[in-house]
This record gives sequence, C-alpha cells and structure tokens, in this order.
Amino acid sequence: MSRARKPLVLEELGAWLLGLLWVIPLLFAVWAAVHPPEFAARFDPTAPLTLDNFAMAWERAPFPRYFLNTFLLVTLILAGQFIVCTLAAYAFARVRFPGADIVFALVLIQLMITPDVLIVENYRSMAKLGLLDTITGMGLPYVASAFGVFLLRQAFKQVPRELDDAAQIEGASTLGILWRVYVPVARPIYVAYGLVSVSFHWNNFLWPLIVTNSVEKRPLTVGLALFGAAETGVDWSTICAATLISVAPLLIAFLLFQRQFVQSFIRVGIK
Amino acid sequence: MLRKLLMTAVATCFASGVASAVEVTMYYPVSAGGPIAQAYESLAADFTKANPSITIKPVFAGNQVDALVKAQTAARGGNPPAMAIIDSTNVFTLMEDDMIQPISDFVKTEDEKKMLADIYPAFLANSVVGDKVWSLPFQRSTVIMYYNKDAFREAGLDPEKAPATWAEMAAAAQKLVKKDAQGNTVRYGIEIPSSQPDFYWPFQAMVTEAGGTMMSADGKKTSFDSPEMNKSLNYWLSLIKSGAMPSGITAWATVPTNFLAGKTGMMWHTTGNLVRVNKEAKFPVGVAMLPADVKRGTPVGGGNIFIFKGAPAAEKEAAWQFAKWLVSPERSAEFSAKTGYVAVRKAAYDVPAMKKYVAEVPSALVARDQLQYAVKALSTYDNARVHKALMDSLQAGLNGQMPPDAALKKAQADATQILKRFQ
Repeated sequence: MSRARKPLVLEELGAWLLGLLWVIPLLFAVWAAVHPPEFAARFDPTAPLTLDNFAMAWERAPFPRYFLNTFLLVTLILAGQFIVCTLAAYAFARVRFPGADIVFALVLIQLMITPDVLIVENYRSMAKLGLLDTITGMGLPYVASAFGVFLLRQAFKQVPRELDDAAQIEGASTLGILWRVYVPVARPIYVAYGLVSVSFHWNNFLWPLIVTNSVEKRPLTVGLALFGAAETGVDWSTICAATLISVAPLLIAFLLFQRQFVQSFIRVGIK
Repeated sequence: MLRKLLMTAVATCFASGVASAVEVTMYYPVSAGGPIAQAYESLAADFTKANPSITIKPVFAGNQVDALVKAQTAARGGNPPAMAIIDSTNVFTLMEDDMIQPISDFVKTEDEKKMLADIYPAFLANSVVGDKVWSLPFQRSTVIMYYNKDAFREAGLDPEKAPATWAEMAAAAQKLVKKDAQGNTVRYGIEIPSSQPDFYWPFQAMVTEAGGTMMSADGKKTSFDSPEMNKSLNYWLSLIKSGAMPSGITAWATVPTNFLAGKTGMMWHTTGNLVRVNKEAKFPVGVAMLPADVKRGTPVGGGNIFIFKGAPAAEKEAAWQFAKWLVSPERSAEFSAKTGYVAVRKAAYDVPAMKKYVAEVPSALVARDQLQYAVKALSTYDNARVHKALMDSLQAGLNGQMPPDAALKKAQADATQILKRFQ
C-alpha cells in the first residue's frame, strides 16, 4: 500500500502507452468496420456510419457454424486439459512413485518445444486414430498440457499436508480429497490457466487449418483467413467487420469478468 | 434368410463399389479472395456433372505458404491429397521431398502432348526440371503496371502513353506526387509491394529488366550480389528518396487498395487483380507492360497443379482428368475472364467468349503480350528459406538498416549457406 504514495508518473505513463498500443488496432478495426470502404484508411469524423460491412461479412461465411466449431473446440480442450492436468499434477505433487522426477522433467521438456514443430507427428497420430477433419482431432494434441500440469502441481504443493490428513481421517477417498481439498484451493490457477488456454485456442490457426478439410469442421480463424485476400488486395472494411465478429465473444467475456481474471492473475503471480 | 441378407449386402457393396465415384481431394490456396473459393467450388461441380464417376472435393488450404505446409504435412502423414494448387516455385522443394509425381508420367496420347505444347512456354518454365514436366500451369500471372489516367492528366502526362523505361517511370512518378497544404503526401507517384512473402517477385521484375538473373536453372545457385541486383535495389531506393514512393515496407495487399483510393498514381501488381481493379476503380485505369531498363521483363507467378505421388492410382488418374479439363481452352478462358489471371493456353484466346471479353477489356491482353519477355519466378531448392533470406536482406536495404551492396552480399552469403547441401 505504501507504494501507492510514491510518485508513479513513469509507471502510469508506461501503462497508458502499453494500453494505447494494445487498443489502437482494435480502434482501427472498429473504425473501418462501421464506415463505408472509402473511409477505411481515412479519418473523417463526419464519415457516414454503416453496418453494411457486418452484413456482408456475415453473408459471405457461415459464421454460426464457425462459432459453434470454435466453441466446441475450446470447450473440449479446456475440459480435457482440466481433467488430465489435475490428475497428473496431483500425482506429481503428492504421489511418490519411482522415476517421478524423471517423468516430471520430461513433462517440463515439453514446455520448451513449440507445438508447430510437432505438426507432422501429430498429424500422423490423428490419421492413425482416424480423427482427421474432426473437432476431436483438432483438440486432442493439446489436452496433455505441460504448462497446465506444471502450474497445478506448484499450486497443489502449497496445500498443507494437514488438510490432506484431516480429510483422510474423515474418510474421504483420494479422488474425494482431490476434488474437495485441492481443486478449490487452486481455483485462481484454473481461472487464469483457462483464460490463457481459451484465448490461445480461440486464436489458433495453423493446426486447425492443416487438420480440417471441410467447412463443417472449420473454426473461426480458418474461416476468417478466407477473407484475407492476400494476392489481389484486401477489403479492409469487410475484414475488420469479420474480425470483430470473431473476437466479440472473447472480448465481451473479458470485459464482463475482467475483475475476476485480473484477481486470478495477481494471486497466481504472488504464489 | 441370413444368408440371403448377407448376399444382398455383398451385392450392394459390390454394386456401389463400381458405381461410386472416385473422390479426388484438391487443396487450393486462397490467394485471390473469396470469389476464388466459389470459382473452385463451381468448377468442381461442373466437372462432376460432365464426369459423374469422379467427385472433386476442393479444400481451402490458407494462403500460398499455408497450402504448401498443409500439403507437405498431409503427405508426410501418409494422407496426401491427390492434387493441390501450389505456388509453382515450390517444385524443387516438393521434388526433394519426393512427394509429387511428374505430369509427364500422365501424358500419353497425342492430344495430351498437343495440350502441353499449347501452353505458353514462360508458364511452363517453372514446371520443367531435367527432362520432365512436374506440374501443370493453371492460375498464372505476371507483374503488370496499372496507372490512374485521371491522375496522369492532372499531372500533365499523356494518359494514353504509359512510361516505357525506368527513367520515364521515375520522371512520371515524380510528377504524379501531390501534397497537401501541410506538405504531407496525399498521392504518391508509384507503389510497388515490398512485404513478404511476395517482395521477391516485383523485385525480380526489375532485375530481369536490368538484364540480370537471380538463380541458376537447376535451382542450386543464386546470384543475389550481381551488379544487376545492385542496380535494381538502387533504382528502388532512388524512387523512395525522390519522394515518389512511400518509404519503408509497402504491404502487398494494401497497394491495390491505395491505388483504388487514388493514393498512388501507378502501381506494380499481379494481373490477377485486373478484374477487381477494373470493376472497383472510380477513374479510368491504364494497364501497361513494366518499363524497360535494358529490356522489358517480368517473372511469371502463381499456382500450378501438382499431383501427389502417395495418392491411390485411381485418384491420381482422376485428378489428371480434372487437371486436363481445368486447362482446356474453354475453362482457361473462363477462369481468365473471371479473375484477370492469364489463360495458360494459346488456344484459349481463340475461344469466342474470350474474344468477346478481350474486345471489351483490351487491357486483358497486356499481360499475355508481356509473356514474351517473361522469365521463370525465383525458384530454388529449399525455396521458402532462400526466398526469406533474400527478402530479409532486401528489406534491411530498403529500411536503411544496411547499405544496398552489403545487404545483397548478405543475401547471397545466406542463400549459399542454405543451398550448400544440394551442391
């Protein structure tokens, strides 16, 4: 608290600058989306407002389908990650088994490999499982997240053993303890990790592009790329409208739950 | 009873096995916007109508770079598409990966040989390696110059006479610059895209015009530090220095938008833009060949049809049927008139629909006529990395981070390093 009294001009200035840098592209997108194409790159406060760009974007692509696919994709991944990471993290935090350190080191190594390097191997696996061009195939490679395991393991390690013992004396099973003691303690971690995961997979492009072949399975990002008319020039107004449509749910969710998100991050940070 | 049921089931399977169509998966990049996707869908449907035993399944595969990655991944994963439309310059890469089957393997009849002979040689240049044709040209383009005739008139230039040499273009560009009261440029003289991954392309046009080449025919050597490369980069920089061209990097996709908005008097861009520019411009548009330094010149560009080795034989054969149908004079004419891409067949220009289109839009012939000066696009082994090495250095040169000759020396050194393992 005492820090607040210090002159924070520089920090505040920095915060404003970063905030501005972040918001400028968004403001441009909004500007271009609500004005006719002639005004896309020209600032004129008197320019006529229009919603035609949204209508055009909406018409040119099956957005409801894309939304559904993206929604299913991020939900599937997040649910899978929570289950797998919770169980793995608990094992690493509390269960003693031979070779635990080596296995954990292997999990950590996964953190250092970018998923893009594994695309061919992942593709092969999905082909063998017959999951090409399915939403499951798009999500499966991300379910065993090393980052999630690591974060949750650290959180679970903070849980006092006494709580664990007390629950055991009360007659709770291992899974019961995990569910009633560990998971509630790590709630902020789940929120923070969930946010990172959802926003990453909402935006992920290359893997979904490679593994899907049909419009019915395409997520928003891949659908949006159809608007990126790279070779013959870009209709910025329509693209901006389409982009805003795509990011709107995330953006709205973030603004609504901003306080919870920020708090979660701060708590994770303090730990 | 059970036996009878089984027999019927077997019979049905067999019958459907015979009647059911071969399904050919075709990856295509969207390098030309939404309408291209629809064009492929309708081409596929039309083909199936004429050939009920073959179903074509067009699959959107991102931009040119993504399409290559997707096809390579699928092929490595043991599930290659029967065919894909991929940038023609990737032929060495795909050969090196042993993923594609030469088109020559499918060419058997006299008609098929005649078809190959009818394709413009410039377009075939990127397909022929050794004594084989490895891909079939389809969605092909060249760089051309577009100019705003109203702006020419306003600047006191003859709107019916496009600049024909580098010196004339620099002078015209200078005259076309318009500034507002505060001294900000509201209209540049010329814009030439310099963003990746396409920068090499207009740049290669300049190098060709200066009389240089960028690589050896076998795709194993580059000559990025040649005097012609230096001359081209310096010419480019001189256009920026004179204020006739925006400084820094100009994005490929925004150049046509700027041109249509009247923010530049001239632009160099793909002929694939012709239909859109003609349709959307609110001023009369002039189209001309690129100006000459010691000669005229442009690289060809665009996508070719590749057939993938690993696909089942029946699918490959069906893909070949579809490929042949796509480059038939009628279809190439139709595709050209719809998009502005150059029809790859000479015979396409004798098709009545094409004659009618050309009569209405004479500028559609500029790119075709320029083909006589066209060279093959920069294509080497490990193509993507060589392209990137070149463009990173060129951009450093444009941004002033490196003097031009140092930048080109670095590009050459990097490319030599990349190509070392193929010598």
